[in-house]
Amino acid sequence: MVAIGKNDYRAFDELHERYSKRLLFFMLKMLNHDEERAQDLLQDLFLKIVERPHLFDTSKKFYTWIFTVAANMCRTEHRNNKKEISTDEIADSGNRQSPTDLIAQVDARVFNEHLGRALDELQYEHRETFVLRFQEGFSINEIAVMMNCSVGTVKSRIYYTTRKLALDLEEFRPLLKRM
Amino acid sequence: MEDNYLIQELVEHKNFTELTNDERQMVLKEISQEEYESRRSILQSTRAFLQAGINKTQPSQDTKKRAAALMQVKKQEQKGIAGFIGYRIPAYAAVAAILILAFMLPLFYANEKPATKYVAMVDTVYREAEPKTVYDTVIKEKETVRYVNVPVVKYVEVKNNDSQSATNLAARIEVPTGGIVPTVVLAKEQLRDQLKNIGKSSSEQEELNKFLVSSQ
Repeated sequence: MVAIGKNDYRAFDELHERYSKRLLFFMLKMLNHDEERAQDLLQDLFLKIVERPHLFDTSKKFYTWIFTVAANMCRTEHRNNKKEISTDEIADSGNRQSPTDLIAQVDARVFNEHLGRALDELQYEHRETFVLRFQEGFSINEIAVMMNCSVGTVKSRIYYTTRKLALDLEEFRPLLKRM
Repeated sequence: MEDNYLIQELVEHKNFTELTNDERQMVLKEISQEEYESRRSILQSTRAFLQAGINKTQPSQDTKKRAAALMQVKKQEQKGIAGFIGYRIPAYAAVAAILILAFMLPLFYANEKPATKYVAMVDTVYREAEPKTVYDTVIKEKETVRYVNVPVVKYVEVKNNDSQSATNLAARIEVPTGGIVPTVVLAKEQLRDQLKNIGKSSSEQEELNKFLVSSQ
C-alpha cells in the first residue's frame, strides 16, 4: 500500500492479482450472482485504493482491511438495491430435481448446484458470515470486527447456518458419505 | 450457546472418530453421530465449493487499465506541485535575496510619517434627559361677569322718644341719641348683644331675624 501511495503500478498489479478473484467471488455471493454489479463494485474498490491509499492503516492486516471494505460496499449495495431476489425466485430459477431422482443420479455437480442455491437462500448477514468464515477463513473475532457485531452473534450465525445447510441438504447424506 | 459453538468447532476440525470420550459425550447430548458427520461433510464440501468458485471467476481487466491511467494522472499532479515546491536555486542567490530584503524593508518604513493621533480626553459624557411633563388636566381661567347686590345705606333720623315708644322690636333697639346713625351701624354684633337682653322668646327671636333681614 505504501508503494501504491507512491503510484507504483507494479504494486497495484500485485494486489490485484492476489485479491481480485477472491473479492469478486465474495461479491458475487453477496450480490446474488449479479456479475455486472459485482464487477463494478470490484473496480470501485481498486480505484479507491489507488485514489486514497492513505485510508489504509498500515498497522492492520491488508487482507482483513480489504475484505472489510468489500463487505461494507456489498452491504450498502444490498441496502440500496431493495430488489432482492426472493427465496422462491431462487428456488424456482433452476430445474430442481426431486431428491429421489437425485439419489439415483447424484454427482458432485448436482450437489454443488444445490449447495450454491442453499447458500444463496440464506439471510444476508448469515451468508456474509458463513462465506467470510469458510471461503476466506477469517477468525470469529475478525468477522465480528468486520461486521461490527459481537463475537457471540458471529458464533450463533455460523452454528445455525451450518445446521440449516445440513437440514436443507439432508437428501445428499449418502453421497456425502462416499465423497 | 457456548456448548453449541463448541460442537460447531469440533465439527469444523475433527471427525467423529477423532473425538475424545468427553467430547463425544458432549456432542451426543445435543446431536446424533450421523448429524455430526453430516454437518462436517457439508462444511468440507462448502469449503471446496467456495474455493472452486473463486478459481472460476474472471475479474475485469478494465480495472487495471483505469487504475494505471489514474496513477499516471496522479503522478503528473504530484510532479507539478513538487516541481514548484522543490525548485532549487544556488545558495548565493538565496543569500543575496535575503540581504536585499533586509536592506529594502527599512527604506519602506523610513518614509512613513507618523500619523496624527487624536486622544480623547473625555470618552463619554452622560447627560440625564429631563423627564417630559405630560399634563393630564389643563385648567383654563375664564373671565365671567357676576352681579351682586350691594347694600344700600339709608340714613334715617331717629328720635329719642320714638325709641321709647316704639311698640315693635325694631323701635326698641337702642341707638345713639342725638344724631343721624346709619342703619348699617346697627351691625350684627351690636344687635346680638342687645338681643341677649331682649327677644328671649322664640316668637320675638323670629321677629327680630325678619327685621335683621329686611334691614340689609
